Amino acid sequence: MNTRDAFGRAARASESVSAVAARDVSVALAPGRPTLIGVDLTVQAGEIVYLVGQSGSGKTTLLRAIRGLVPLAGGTLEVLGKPIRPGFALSSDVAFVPQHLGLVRPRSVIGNVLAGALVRMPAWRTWTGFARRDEIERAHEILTRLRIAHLAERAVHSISGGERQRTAIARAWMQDPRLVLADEFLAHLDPATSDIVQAEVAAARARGVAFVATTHDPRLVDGHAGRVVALAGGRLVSRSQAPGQIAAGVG
Amino acid sequence: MSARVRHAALATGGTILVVVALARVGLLDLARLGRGAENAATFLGDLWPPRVEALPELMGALLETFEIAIAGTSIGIAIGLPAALFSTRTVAPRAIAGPLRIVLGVVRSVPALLWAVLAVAALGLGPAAGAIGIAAYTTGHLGKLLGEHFESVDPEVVEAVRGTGASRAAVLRHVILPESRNAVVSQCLYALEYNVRASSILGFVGAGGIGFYVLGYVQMLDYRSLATALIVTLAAVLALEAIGAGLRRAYGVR
Repeated sequence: MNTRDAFGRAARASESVSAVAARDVSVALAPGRPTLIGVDLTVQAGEIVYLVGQSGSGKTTLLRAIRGLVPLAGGTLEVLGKPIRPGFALSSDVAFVPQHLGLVRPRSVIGNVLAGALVRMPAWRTWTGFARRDEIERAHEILTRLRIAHLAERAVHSISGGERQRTAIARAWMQDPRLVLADEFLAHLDPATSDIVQAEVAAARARGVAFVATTHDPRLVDGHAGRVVALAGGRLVSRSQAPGQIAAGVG
Repeated sequence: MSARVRHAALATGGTILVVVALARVGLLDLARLGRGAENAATFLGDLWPPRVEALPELMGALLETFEIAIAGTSIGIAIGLPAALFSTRTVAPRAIAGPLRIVLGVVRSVPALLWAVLAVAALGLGPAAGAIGIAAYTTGHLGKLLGEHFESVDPEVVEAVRGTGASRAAVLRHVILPESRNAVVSQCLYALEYNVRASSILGFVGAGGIGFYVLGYVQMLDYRSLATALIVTLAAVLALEAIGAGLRRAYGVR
């Protein structure tokens, strides 16, 4: 595979397995009412894919399916070379940022970022809540890169929307992921945050990190170096087939 | 049946139920209520003045009441809080959460006084039985109430941290607990306040505390000592509630 990032560098050889390989994937959140029907999607290392489609088109469900948070009704789904099947263990290689960021609001910024390291902690440490010095240093380094280190001890409910977006990204970075799944927000960044995050995303893609991001407004995708995949009624459609604003918004 | 007819039927049925209940317990018997008012006036007169000599024995019993409440509440929190966490169906495996919720519901539906009766049968008379009774009720109460609160935590936050790959136990510790911190502090303080009140009648069934004296004074018609006991209990409960309010303010909890 010959994936190249925004800077034209070849991706790491070790990333040669597809980030996502979905074949004929179906999901039924309620019995008899399919949310996804026969979805095929391949995402390579270092690639960024935008899922576009109206509310209810199945974008978020596809993202949650890739994270292994909803059971498949049919098809096969491999993420970073490992099949998603009932009871599999969620690895730290995949980061998932939900639409409203999913931050623990009463906790501090650094407390939320350290949640990204829980998966690698032994059980006794997840209960006592003690982070190791190297974990704390790494969290601070990420916060510094995102320019919110000065907010480390502030509670999440007391910081601004853009600062929360960066906190959610910092938690994802803490996992050191190879695949990042972002629901809506990568395309809706606060202006002050946007430049910082775009640089971070470009650097991560250069390391071979893949991104799948949803958006209901494809106009926001323009100007981003990514592939656009459209969903309508739970199926993949060509962009010209997608209803309404999607056809209009993306030329 | 239209909504209106159903409404009228429910209202009529409800009214009949209330009237029948009042009549059967004797509260619609006006002559009897009149006699009752006279008796109450006499009784209130007999309460005055409170007998100060009863204070020394009452202070010891009051202290024991607090000890029962503190011991019982602590055990109840120690068992009830983890039980509540593992009965959170949005995070804990259903095979654990489901049965646990049923057990907590059953434990909670038995009042502390009845648990104390059972504990007296097992442990004999005394405050140990009272503490066990309080602990059992508190376990069920906190387990059920906090469990329900834990389930109301935003599922997106649960999914976000679950999505980092963190274990279910880690999600309970790092999402459910911090998101519910205020409810946990508030409910534990409430449980302590409630348990001091509950402990004050445990003596009725021989499970220690000031209730033993209250029952004794009533049976010996020593109403002046009873008045002292009631005043002391009231003062203690009010003092504790003031302390609880202070702690809530300190924690920024409503």
